[in-house]
Amino acid sequence: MIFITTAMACEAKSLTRPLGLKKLKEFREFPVYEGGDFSLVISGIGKTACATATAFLLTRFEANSSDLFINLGLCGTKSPHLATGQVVIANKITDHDSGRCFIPDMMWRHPFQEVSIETFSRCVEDGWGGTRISATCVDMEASGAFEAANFFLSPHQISIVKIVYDHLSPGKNDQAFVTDFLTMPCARISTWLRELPSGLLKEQEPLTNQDHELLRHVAREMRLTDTMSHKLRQLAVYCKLSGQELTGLLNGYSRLSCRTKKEGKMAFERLKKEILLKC
Amino acid sequence: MLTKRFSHIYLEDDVRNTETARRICAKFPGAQQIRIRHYKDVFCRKRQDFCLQKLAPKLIIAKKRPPLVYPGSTNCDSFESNHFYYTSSMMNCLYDCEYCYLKGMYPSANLVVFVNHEEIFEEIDRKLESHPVYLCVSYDTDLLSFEAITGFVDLWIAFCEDRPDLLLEIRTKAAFIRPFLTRPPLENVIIAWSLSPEYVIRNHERGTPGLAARLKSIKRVMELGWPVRICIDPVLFIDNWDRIYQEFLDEVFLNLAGDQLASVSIGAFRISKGYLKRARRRYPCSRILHYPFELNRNGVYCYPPFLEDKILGDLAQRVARFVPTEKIRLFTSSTP
Ligand code: SF4
Repeated sequence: MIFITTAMACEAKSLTRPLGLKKLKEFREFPVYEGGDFSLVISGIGKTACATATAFLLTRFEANSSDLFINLGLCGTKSPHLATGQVVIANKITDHDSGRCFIPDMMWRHPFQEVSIETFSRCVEDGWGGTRISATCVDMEASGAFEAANFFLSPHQISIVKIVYDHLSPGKNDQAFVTDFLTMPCARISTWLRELPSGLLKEQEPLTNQDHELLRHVAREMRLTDTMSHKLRQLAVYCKLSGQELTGLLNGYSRLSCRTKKEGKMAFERLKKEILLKC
Repeated sequence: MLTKRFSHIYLEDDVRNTETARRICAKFPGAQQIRIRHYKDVFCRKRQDFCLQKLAPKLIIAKKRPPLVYPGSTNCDSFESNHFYYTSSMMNCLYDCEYCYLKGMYPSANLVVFVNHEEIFEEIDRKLESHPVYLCVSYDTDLLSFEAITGFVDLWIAFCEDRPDLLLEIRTKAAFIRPFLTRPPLENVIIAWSLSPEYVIRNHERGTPGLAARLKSIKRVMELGWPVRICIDPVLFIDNWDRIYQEFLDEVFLNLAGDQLASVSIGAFRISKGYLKRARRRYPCSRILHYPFELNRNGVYCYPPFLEDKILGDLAQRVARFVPTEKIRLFTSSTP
């Protein structure tokens, strides 16, 4: 699953259309859209709102280690080398208020320019309060999105993607204009999103739920202590990784009904020997 | 969809303008450079995916802060030196050995290169004022594997040239030997080459040079007069280990004159409890890591004593056919 947060509805619109996302009726807290492998939430402006919406989305949809998260929105820049409408991706995010840095793990290839982003609590315009801007781009959500998402996901699962809207001069704020402005960049972003791995593959645990159940049963029958049960699990893992048939091997021990711990210990040693011999 | 290896270089503010940092960055002209305050801001981030990072690691250029040199671990062979130390000019390794303890040691698989080697040199000089020093410089990494990028081995050799009381050990699986070809051999620099059977290299030592390439490099370096130690460590208990290790020894000593080696050390696989736990969690399907090891009284997981004795005993006996016994060092999990 790919989870997306945007601050404003006009930003979201440029993505919901190309990705074919539909609004879900059941959520009252935030507007949520879904379609295919994507879920999108509109957070409202600012890092607190964004962090809250991010946490909401990732909790409600039970994000896990195979998912990705994107914070998408507008940003400003002081850099004359960045054009308006250019898509940028953050390789470092600084929270202006706290000075904290967040660094995504840049594991995915992308066609965008990489930049540093600094998140402010207020709109930054040129010369605003004489504030020193340390990053290439500025926005109002990235640090909140990253910090919240990182509670649930790894840094390689989190991407902050922005579209340069202005060079820190007061710009047009008309919603329809923004949606229109974002159409082209968002088409590029949608193409990239579709290429991202929608389910990150992880090595699967060798023991199935059924195996665990059987192991618990055998441990009970053998009256094993917690430490020995743990050792039994380890033996079972090794047995399966060695390509041996675990169930058949354990079945012989599943009706032992050992009367004492000593008896169980002896049976455990027998089983251990049998497994080590086979593997 | 994954980025390339070293597509990003993270540079600590303290060292980003040093000559060494610049030289290393120049080796990766297309890489994105990102300024950081401290290497831990990247290296110690929470929830990193070690396995994924291992496939496309990034480079972190940093300054090593004290302690710059550590007393040697008792889990490793100190070769009877009373003043055994190690230092890491790098953290993590270019190679990807399935059994490597680094898989359970660090929170990240990204490579950290410390570029303030002069400060480490000064620290060694201070120690040398009071006693001789046995120093492992390829600890928690394989320094030689990254030599084409860092040039650190060359710097260490130059440092050893006029310091006879410093005995340096460079442990490696690499086949790259340029630093040894450009200087006259030194008695106080031991190159400790880790060797494994080709089967183990192909299946469990991803990215390392094959046995033939390693042997060719060793042979060349020995001919030039450099002291070489062979490390058959860790010995892995794998299917058909008896035959596989026999053929391996035959090949090694067909190529190398056993009596001209400085020594041969043999050690069975062992790993500390905490590292094994984390490595197993990260690699749930590694048969090597999931062997039902036994915990010894030093908190080290190892093969059951009967198996370890058998493996080491058999191998030592076979090695003794080629190497004088006084040059063979066995390292068991219970060696203090
Ligand atoms: S070469 Fe050594 S340090 Fe590198 S991965 Fe292999 S065992 Fe680990």
